Amino acid sequence: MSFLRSRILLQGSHALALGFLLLIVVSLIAETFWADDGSFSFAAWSNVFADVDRWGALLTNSLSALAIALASCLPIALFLATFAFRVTSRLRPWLVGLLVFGALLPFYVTNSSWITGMGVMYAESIIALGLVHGVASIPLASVLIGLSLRSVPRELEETAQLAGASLASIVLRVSLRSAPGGLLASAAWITLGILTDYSASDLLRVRTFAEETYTLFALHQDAREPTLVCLPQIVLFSLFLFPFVGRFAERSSGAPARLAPLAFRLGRWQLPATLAALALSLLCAGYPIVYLSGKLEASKSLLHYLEVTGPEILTSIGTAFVTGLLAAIFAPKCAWALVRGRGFLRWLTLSAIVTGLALPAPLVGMALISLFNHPGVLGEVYDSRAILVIAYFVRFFPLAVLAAVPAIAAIPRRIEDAAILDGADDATIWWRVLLPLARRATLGSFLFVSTLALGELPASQLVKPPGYETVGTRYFSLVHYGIEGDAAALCLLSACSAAALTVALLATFRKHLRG
Amino acid sequence: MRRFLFSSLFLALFVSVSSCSDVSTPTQEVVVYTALDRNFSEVIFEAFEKKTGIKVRASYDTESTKSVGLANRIRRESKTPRCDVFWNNEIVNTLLLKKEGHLQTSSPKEAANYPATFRDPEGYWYGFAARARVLIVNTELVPEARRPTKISDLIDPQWKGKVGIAKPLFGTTASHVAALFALHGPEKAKEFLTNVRANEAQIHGGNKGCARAVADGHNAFAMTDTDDAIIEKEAGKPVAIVYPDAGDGEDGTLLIPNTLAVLKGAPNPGNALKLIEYLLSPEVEKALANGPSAQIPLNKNSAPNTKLPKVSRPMKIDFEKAAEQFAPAREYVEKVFLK
Repeated sequence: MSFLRSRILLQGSHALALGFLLLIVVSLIAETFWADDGSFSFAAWSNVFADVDRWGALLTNSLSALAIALASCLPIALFLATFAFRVTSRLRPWLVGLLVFGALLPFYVTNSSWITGMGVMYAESIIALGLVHGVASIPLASVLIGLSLRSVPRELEETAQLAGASLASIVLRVSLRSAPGGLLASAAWITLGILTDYSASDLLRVRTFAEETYTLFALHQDAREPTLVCLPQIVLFSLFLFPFVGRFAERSSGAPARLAPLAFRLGRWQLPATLAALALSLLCAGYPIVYLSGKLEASKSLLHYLEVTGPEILTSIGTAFVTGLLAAIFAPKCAWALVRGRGFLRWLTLSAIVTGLALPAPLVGMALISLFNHPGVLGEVYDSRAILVIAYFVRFFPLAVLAAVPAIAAIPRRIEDAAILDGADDATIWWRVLLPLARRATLGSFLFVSTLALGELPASQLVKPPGYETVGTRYFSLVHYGIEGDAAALCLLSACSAAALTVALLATFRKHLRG
Repeated sequence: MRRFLFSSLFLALFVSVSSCSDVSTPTQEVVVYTALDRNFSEVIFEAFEKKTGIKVRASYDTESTKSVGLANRIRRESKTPRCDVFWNNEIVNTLLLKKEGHLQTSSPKEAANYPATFRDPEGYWYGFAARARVLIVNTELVPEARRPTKISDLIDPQWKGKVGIAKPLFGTTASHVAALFALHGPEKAKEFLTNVRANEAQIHGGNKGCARAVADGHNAFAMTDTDDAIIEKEAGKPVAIVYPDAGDGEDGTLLIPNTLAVLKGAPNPGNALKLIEYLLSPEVEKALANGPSAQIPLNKNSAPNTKLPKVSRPMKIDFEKAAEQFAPAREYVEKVFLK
């Protein structure tokens, strides 16, 4: 292949994937400037931003729930992360497995169990909303913080240890300070959940930005007001994430080979800490399973539940896997652009990834409706399950790219340089040199995105074509009637898929997760 | 290694796309957007499929955006409609769609067996399988002597913080609010809504939520529909169903029919008519009446509902006027309930 053609093919496919993400955001914002009659208008802007009372209520509720979620999640996650990833214990692999499984459970599985289990379904409680988000995020936060703690330079902690610092002091004052990424990522994840996921706030009837977005769209049939309600959070989040993601990519590529992290010993605290870690992990990952199992109707067999929920499961699996494949194809290349790219390519990749991360899920659905609800080929796509694949891709591709960054960054630069010196073009370098070395990143992207897509609800709810439901949307319609047999069965089948993906992820990344 | 990887990826892609693909041998189909709960309507669709061989692609509503969500979806898709039949669980939004030109006429044979008040004179929509707006009362929390009998009991200070209603922006609750605007005039209706809010009525996601909240003892009583109330009663929960405002000189109990309409530009109008004819049949009325939702048959050839007492005093309401009041009512409800 000619040098120019290979460059066009490679960069073209890269730009296509990212350009689509940016198109979503641009189309949403552009729509806010059009009135019902098609004329240019600022009416939507003045309607939304002049309503001070509304902003006050939404900010108060959302920020209160966020504070409670962070306070209930991060201390516990820090303890579990330290124990599971840094303390010498025979139970470590099991704890890591439990935490990864808990992290992969769809949010609607955990939130429905905790909401109905705690008996707060009628409470309209901000505290309950915050607690549900906080508790549901503990496993993922533990894994993120744990992975981050494993990257702390050993010598820093050894120095502190020799100086007589306690474990708590070392972790809080040395480890977290030198590797805050996991903590920041966890806080960002929880914030995104509170601001963009409406499944819990809809059940608890608490007005947050997520709930407002969904209600406004259902009421007014267009995306203008929902977009504007979410605009400040999109902008603020993007501004926060831009340097964070950029630095994450740079640090990953510049990281020198490290010694294995220090393994802590707890002495007389070993047993109580072990029991506490085990109890907390089992509670976070196991409580939803136990609670939902108790809701199954004894008179109905597994076959009955599979029959009733079969079409939804097939739709979810099919669309999730296709999305995973697309992510596997494009994510490593975009991760490479973040890590090694320069100039416009890196800037485009960074902007698209950051904006994609900050975009609330309901807005993704609304944007896709605006873009695809037209005659012709677009309408054909809109009326098929492909629209679900596109929604999942827009939502989770940025996360797949970030997940692939460490694996791509670990490929020694000299290998690439050697290929260039040998006269290889871009496509050859990518397909024959880098991609084989990035197979872990490819597989990881596939597994990660498939898992997330299986549990997706907010965007699916808006774009699902007639005649098709996903596991998430079916659950959403059932759960308003309370958790009964069919809803519990759906959640448990989702949990089974999470378990299967947990095993696959652990097998692929066992060295990184178990240490 | 690369060949194996790509072969595996390609095979997985092929299998996944096949399971995802909507390219199949052409079949007869009809696309219906239905606001009636899936567990009531799905069995009807399955019976239709078995009888006619026409595949039903149904899109079901969500409890928290009932009826309005689907009607707005129809509006959004009006340039490239993909829905054939709109099965609404109330009437006001169907009337609004007709007014906006989103419907087309149809002539099901069974229509002649329905009262004139429950079908459009021009043939744009047909009403069937009605429900009543009722008060569901927890019999353990509310002794019989103190049972509410009117809608206005929702604003009685003795029940402050103990009553419930569904979000009055969607579904039959929004239609009920519009009916109150039409019946009593905007000022009186607005006063009532303000007082409901001031009486700290708990706002539930939908009528089902209201019925469950009362059945579980979280509310003393709540406004809901007969189909949601009867389910709790038949489940053995301590609830009673009250037809409100049934006394002499009172407004009467609001009866809201399900409505059927064929959409303008429907891709399968022939199949749409067949589906409507089937849904209007005495067989379906009977199934809905005898089923868990206990709908009230309107077809003169259908046997009456035996699960519920007859509505002794139906509200005399002009639904066209209620449809005219829908937008101003919604605007006020947004002000009161979304702040």
